[in-house]
Amino acid sequence: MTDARLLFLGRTGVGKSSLVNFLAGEERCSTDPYRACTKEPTIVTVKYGDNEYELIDTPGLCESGRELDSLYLGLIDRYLVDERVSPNLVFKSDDTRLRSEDYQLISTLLSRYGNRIFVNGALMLTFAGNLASDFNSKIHKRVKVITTAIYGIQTSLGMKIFDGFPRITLVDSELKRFFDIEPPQNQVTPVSLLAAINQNQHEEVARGIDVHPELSESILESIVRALGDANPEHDKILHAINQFPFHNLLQHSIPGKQSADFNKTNMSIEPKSVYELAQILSAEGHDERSINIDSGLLTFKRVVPYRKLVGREFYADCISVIAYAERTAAGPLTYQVDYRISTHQYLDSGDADVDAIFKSSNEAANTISMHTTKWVDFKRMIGFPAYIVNIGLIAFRASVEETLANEEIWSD
Amino acid sequence: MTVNDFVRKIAALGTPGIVFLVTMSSTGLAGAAAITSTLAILGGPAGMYGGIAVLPIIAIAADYLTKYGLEFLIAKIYQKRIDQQGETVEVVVREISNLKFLSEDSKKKVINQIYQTFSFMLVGRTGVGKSSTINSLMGEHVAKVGDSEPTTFKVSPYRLNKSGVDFTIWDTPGLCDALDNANDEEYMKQISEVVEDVDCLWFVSRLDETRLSSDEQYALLLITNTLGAEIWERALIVFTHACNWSVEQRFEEALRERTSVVLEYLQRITKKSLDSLSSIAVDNAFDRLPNNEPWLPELFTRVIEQASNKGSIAFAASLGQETRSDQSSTPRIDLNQQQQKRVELKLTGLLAATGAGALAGGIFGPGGAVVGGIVGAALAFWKGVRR
Repeated sequence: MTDARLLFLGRTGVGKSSLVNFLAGEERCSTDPYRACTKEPTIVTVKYGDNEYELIDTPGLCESGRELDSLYLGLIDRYLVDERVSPNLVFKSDDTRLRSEDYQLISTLLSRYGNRIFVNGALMLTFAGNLASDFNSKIHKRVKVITTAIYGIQTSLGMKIFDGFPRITLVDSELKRFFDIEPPQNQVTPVSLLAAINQNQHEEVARGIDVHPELSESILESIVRALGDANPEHDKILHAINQFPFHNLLQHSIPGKQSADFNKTNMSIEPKSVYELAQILSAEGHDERSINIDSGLLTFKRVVPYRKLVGREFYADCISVIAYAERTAAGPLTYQVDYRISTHQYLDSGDADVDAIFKSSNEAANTISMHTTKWVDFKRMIGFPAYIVNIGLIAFRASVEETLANEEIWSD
Repeated sequence: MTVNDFVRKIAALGTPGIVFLVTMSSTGLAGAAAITSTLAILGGPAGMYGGIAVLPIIAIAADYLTKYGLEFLIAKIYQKRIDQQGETVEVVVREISNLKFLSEDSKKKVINQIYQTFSFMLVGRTGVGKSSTINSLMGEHVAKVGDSEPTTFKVSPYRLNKSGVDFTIWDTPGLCDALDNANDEEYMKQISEVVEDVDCLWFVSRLDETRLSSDEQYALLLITNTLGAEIWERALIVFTHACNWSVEQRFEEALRERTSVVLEYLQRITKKSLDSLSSIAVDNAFDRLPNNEPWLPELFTRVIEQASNKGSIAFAASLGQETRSDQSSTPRIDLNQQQQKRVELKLTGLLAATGAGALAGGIFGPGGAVVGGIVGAALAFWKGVRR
C-alpha cells in the first residue's frame, strides 16, 4: 500500500531525475548534466521504514518548443487526476532571475491544471550547493520571485490566488543533502495581508507589498471575491480594502523616503522612486481631465506635464495606463483597472522603461538609470504587468485622493 | 537599391569599380564619359567597359556620391572586398596609394576609415554576463551591466572609441527571453538592418547551465534564419561563470559538452559542419579559469581569429597596445607565446598575401605616406607579436 505519491514537475535540467535518484538512494532514473534525457514519466517506489512512497519523475518542460511540451503534459495528465498525488514544483535555487521559460512553465501548468499543482506539494529548490554565500537572502529572494510570478500569472488568468507554498525544500542531490531554510522573514500571505488591512496596519501591509508587490488591492479584492458572499468576513474585508489608503504604503515600503523628502520645487528632476512618482502625480495639477460619471469612466490625462518632467515615453504611457479606470458600483473609492488591456495597448505602442521602475522601487538607494525599452508584447512580460499596475494603482489612488481632497467631486 | 547593395556591386568589380567612382567624383564626368576616362586611367583592355557599363549603378552612382561622399563609399567598398574577397592590407594600401585624383590626405583618411570600426553582436539570455564580458575585454565599462532585471528589450547599440577605433556593441536583449513569436519578425528586421556591419557575433551562455534552453535554441534558429549560416564563421561561443562551484571540478568536461550541445544544435539547423566555430570559457569574477589559465588573453586571441578580416585589423590596432607594457609591469592582456603565434598567423594573412618578408616593402613602399593611423597601429602590434 503506497502511503504517498510525489510527482516532480519542472523545466528540463532543473534536476528532477537526480532528485528522485537521491530520494531513492540509488540511480533509478537516467540523468544527464548537459542534455535533456527524461522522455516519459518514471515511477520509482521507495520504502522509508514502514512507509512506501511512489516518486514520479516527469520529462522536463521547455526542452524544445511547445509541441514537445504538449506531448509531455499529455503523459503527465493522468497522474494529476489522481488525488493522492502531491505535485512538487522543482526550480533551480541558483538562478538569479526567472526566465521567460519559467513564466511560460508556470503559466502552462496553471492554465492546464489550475491550483491543483499546489495541493499538498512543495517548492523544491535544487542545486543548493551552488549558493555559496548569502544563503538565506538568496533563497528568500528566489522564493519571492517565484511566488510573485505565480501571483501575477494567477491574477492575469483570473484565477484564485494561492496561499503560498505549504512547504519549501532546498536540496542538493549531488551533495545528497537537504538544507533547512529559515522561514522567510516578512513572509506575508494574502490572508495575513487581509488581516493586516482589516486592522489598518500600514506597516504590516507595506511589508507584504514589499514581499509580494503584486499583492495590490485588485488582487486582494479578487481573493475576497473568491471567498464568496457567504463568508462572514467578506463584507468586512472588502470594506477594509476600500477604506485602506494604499498610497500611504509607499512611505512604509520604501525606507528613507518620507513625504518630507519630496520637494515640489524639485519637479524638474526625474523621480527617484515610486514614492516620488506617486507624489509627483498627486501633487501636479491636472493637465487635462474628463470624468464621465454616467459611463463610469474616469479619465485623467497627465501626460503632458509628466512627459516634460521625465522626458521619457514610459511614464506617459504608464500614467495613461492607470488613468483609464472604471468606476465600479461598490463605492466612490473602488476602481477597477483593466490593466491587461491597457498595458497591452500602451506598452505595445511605446517605449517603456520598466527596468528603471523596477530598480527604483526595489532599491532604497535608487538611482534611476534611464534607457528606453520597447515591450513588444504583453505575453512577453507576463508576471511583470501586475507590478507596473501596482505602481499605477497606487499612483492612481494618490491622484484620486488628491481630487477628493481638493474638489470633493467624489465624496458621497 | 540600398547603399549596401550599391557598395556590394561596386566591390564586385574590384579595382575598376573604385577607379570609376573616383573618376566620376573628381572629374565631374558621368556616364559613358566617366567609363572612358576610367578605362584610360586603367589603361586596360576594353573588357572592363562592358563590366561597368551594364551595371545599373552608373545612373545612381552620382546620387550616392552626393549623399555619402567619396571617402565613405570607398571605405565601405574596401570593407566589403576585404571580407568577401580577402583583400590584404597590402593590396588595399597599395591600390589606394596609386589612385589618381585623390589627395594624399584623402588617401590617408580613406585607409583609416576602412579599418576604423568594429562591431560586436551579443546574443544570449539576459543576466548571463554578456555586457560584463565585453567590459572585461575592453577594459572599460561599455555596455550597461544588468543587475537583477533585464535591461532592455530591443536591439540596442552601445558605443565606445578605443585608440581611434569606433566600437559598436549590438546587444539583442529579449532575443533569448521571448515568450512567443508574435514580434520576432519585427525584431529580426531590426537585426538584419545592422548586421552588414557585424564583425564578431557572440553567443553567450552560462557554463553552469544544465541545458541549452529552448529560448536559446529559438534565438540561434532566428539568428541563423535572418543572418544566414555564414554568420557563424565570424562567431564565438562564450561560456560565462566558468568558476562556479558546480563546474569547477569538471571544467574541461563541462566546456566540451556544453560546446558540443550548442554545436550539434547549430549543425542541425544550418546543415553545415561549422568547423571554424569555437568556444571559450570566461568568468568575470575571476582572472583565471578552474584550470588556472587566464581567460582574457585567450578571449582577445579568439576575437582576432574569429572576427571578420577587416574587424581583426581594427581590433588588433585598438586593443593590441594593451598586450604590451614596459618591462616593470604585466600588460592587461598578457598573451602567452602560443597566443602570440596564433594572432600573428591570422594577421599576417590579412596584412600581405606576398608573405611576411615582403610586407614592409609592400606597404611602406614608394608612397610611404600611409604609415600611421589604424593601419600603423595594427602593423606595430603585428611586429610586436612577431618577436
